[in-house]
Amino acid sequence: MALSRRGLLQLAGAGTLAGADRLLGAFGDMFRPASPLGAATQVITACGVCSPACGIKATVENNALRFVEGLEGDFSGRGRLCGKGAAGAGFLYDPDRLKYPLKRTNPRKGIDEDPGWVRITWQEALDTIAERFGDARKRFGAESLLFVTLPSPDVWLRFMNAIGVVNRIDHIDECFLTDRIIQRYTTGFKSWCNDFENSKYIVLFGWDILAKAKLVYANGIIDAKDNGAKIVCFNPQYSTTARFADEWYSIRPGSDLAVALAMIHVLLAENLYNKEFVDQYTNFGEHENTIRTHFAQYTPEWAERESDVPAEAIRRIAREFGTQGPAIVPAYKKTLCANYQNASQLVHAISILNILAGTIDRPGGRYVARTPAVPGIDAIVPPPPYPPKQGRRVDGKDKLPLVLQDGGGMFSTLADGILNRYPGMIQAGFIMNYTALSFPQPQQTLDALATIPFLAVMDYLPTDTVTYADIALPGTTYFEVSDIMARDYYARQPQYVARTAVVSPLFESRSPGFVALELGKRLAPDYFKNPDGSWINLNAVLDERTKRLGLGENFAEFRAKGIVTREQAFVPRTTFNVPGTTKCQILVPQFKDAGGDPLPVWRPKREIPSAEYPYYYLTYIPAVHKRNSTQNNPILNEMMGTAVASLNPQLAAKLGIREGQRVRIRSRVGEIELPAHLTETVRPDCVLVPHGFGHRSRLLQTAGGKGVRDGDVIPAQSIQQCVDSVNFAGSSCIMDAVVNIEAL
Amino acid sequence: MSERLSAPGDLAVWFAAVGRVLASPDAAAGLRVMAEGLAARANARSGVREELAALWAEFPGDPQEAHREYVRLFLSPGAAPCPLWQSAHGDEPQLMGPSHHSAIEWYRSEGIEPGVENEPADHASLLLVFFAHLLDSGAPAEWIQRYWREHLAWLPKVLARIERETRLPFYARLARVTRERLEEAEAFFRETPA
Repeated sequence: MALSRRGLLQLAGAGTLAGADRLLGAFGDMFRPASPLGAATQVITACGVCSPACGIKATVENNALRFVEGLEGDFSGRGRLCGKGAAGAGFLYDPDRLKYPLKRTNPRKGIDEDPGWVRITWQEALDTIAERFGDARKRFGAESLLFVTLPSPDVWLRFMNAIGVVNRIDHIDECFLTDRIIQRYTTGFKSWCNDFENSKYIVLFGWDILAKAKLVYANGIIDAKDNGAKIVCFNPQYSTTARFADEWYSIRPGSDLAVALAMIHVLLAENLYNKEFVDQYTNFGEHENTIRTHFAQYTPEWAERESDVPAEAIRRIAREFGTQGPAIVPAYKKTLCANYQNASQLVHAISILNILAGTIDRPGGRYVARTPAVPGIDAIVPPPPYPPKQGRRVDGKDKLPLVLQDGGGMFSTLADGILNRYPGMIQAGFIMNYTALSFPQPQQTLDALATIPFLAVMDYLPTDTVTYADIALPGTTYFEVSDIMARDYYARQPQYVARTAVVSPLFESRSPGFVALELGKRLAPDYFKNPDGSWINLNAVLDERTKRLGLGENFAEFRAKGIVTREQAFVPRTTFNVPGTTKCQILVPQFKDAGGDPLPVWRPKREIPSAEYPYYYLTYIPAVHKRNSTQNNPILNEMMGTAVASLNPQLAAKLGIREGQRVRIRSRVGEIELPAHLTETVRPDCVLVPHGFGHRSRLLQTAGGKGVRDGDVIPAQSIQQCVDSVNFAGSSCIMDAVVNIEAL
Repeated sequence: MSERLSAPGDLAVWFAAVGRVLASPDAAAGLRVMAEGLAARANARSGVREELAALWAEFPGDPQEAHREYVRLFLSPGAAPCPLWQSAHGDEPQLMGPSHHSAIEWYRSEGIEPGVENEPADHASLLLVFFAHLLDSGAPAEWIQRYWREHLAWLPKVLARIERETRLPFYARLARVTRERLEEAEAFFRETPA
């Protein structure tokens, strides 16, 4: 549209209803004289769909994001974005976004109950939350407060520390808790990167790297192959990465541990490990006899019986792994394999394989992220001493000493804790950016949340969890906030990226930092003041942080640069940050002290097919979606908008199931009904269902009511089950379900 | 043009009133301002007065009822999908879409912009008040027609949906009368030579 200004009218106007009350005042109330027209601008920022924070160039016009593209020259995305990143404007401009703070007027809670929302001011919302949380803390102690949130941004953590929060729960038991705990005691450190490009032999237990669409690793493994690396993949599914690999084995679900143990057996029995590294940098020498004796039992022939992977192949792969390196077995987050009940043992075995390969913090192996520390708000404005954390853990993680050392919480045991272990303990809850779909048995989680007398939920979308809120707060997306990101995915050298607010927060959405500060002022004011008594200003903190890191005089200066890399040579570590030692540990005495296994022993997965539930149930995250948070994006929903159950045609024939026919999948805790898709890519004893669908909130126009919740058939667990099953690093066991399948 | 609408000025008043009322959940405040303004105006046509009076008569005794209904219909639109942003009704429902930018161009052509900048400029309330402004200021029929095509053609359908979905006679009447008047206005200017 090309309009030329008519130039006839001024704001005061001269129409039929001239004067100050022109159009009864509506005109002057809703419009103002136009400010000078700004040209379209381009802003550098970082994607926020997932953690690698790929560089983005955003085009902004009329205070609206017009277009996003990958940032040329940035290693993380190499100038490209994945489908989720490219569809980013669909998150920012989702018509269903929560727009203003809302208060529930209907006390009845349920997914089909109309909450009777009324719009309230931020002032009223924050005052009410502070009052209810303050009251609960006073009457029932800090243990009565539940925060289901990540610990970031740091001002949010400061707020929770300031009021003594004991029960902070997050999803990491489903994602990387096990990995984090095992790595800490075997190789030290928390964050690890995979140097695929320089690797010559890569063994993948389950991780479908290419379909996860983390570009930095997808590019890495493609480079590896270009550079002549051999890639071996164990996965019950013929995944995208399996197709790309040189060898793929259709492994029996939950038996990756058997193969890993047998590979260790071969490496030790045939002395194919990296002797120089192992002698110098590990505790192998101290426990050599114990270690050799322990692994002697796990022969490839034994492993074949457990895993369906031929013994001959295991032996050959182990030999190649030991001799054709640098070799690596990445263990990573939600690899299919790491979410069984035997995940603690599996990740330990994987860590031992990497240690034996001698590639810990060496080219072609796993290396410690050279992620620079960013001074937190507590370094910039030191707080008074925090109160001690006193009270019971609703998720029961105090029963798992190693998990307790970690800052996170456990999703898989939360509902049991609220409903059965400590009924009535939680009096006030705050949930941020998590929906019930994230939990095994999501309905049980919603039922648990419904028992909490006061629930505040902050999100950018009206999720199922928001439907249960007493107060709903509109949160921001990554296009509306600013921060300094320190890269941790491809961190050979320190690198900082500016996440920049490319537009003002839409409607009345606010950042988590704003909420933390405002609640903090109300509930623990002494922690939110500067030394001169004035309130902390988060923009001033960001500027100071920028200055201390030498990135600029203030954040505006840094954002103009976008990305700053501190070039430094990669110097392999010779000491490792393992508790009580400077060496890597193969045998871990601390695991024994914590009720675990000092060396990984074979433990079968929790549930094994039976006459009643004869099939393995596997779930996965499709490439075009990020967990359960992207299904309402119209573009991504169009690419994949619902769930189907993938079945092998052989199994389908046995059960009389045709392509597209609806099937009922039933486990000991629930059932789902969805269409079948027949594919040779799944083992005949498995059914594969994607995660992220089955949002029930009717407020989600695109995703609501579409598909089924994969979690409805995945049993949640109690903390006692973790203890009894030696699940000492707290796996959520989301791959452990077995099911019955019937045609409808 | 229909007999009930004898002058664009009447339409302008109605659309301004509706735009104002649809701008926030506090419909009563919007209505009150409109009614007071109208009462003080000697030359306003009786048809508009009567319509506003009829609308007032439908207003629920408990203002929070109207508030809840506004939020249910327009802010949490899943149960009864009647969002009031034009971009939300395009082929790819997305706020701040092309109609946001086009609306800003229209406003700018008159030297104005929305008072709130972090919300989409294509909200029905803004579009209606601007339409009122075009009518009130004697904009050429060609402009009116074009503005209708670009920014109002979607609205009658949504107003019809509001009539169906709402639990309150107040919003049903507001939607029905506005839809009828929009259609009358469209017919009038369609028939008027450019």
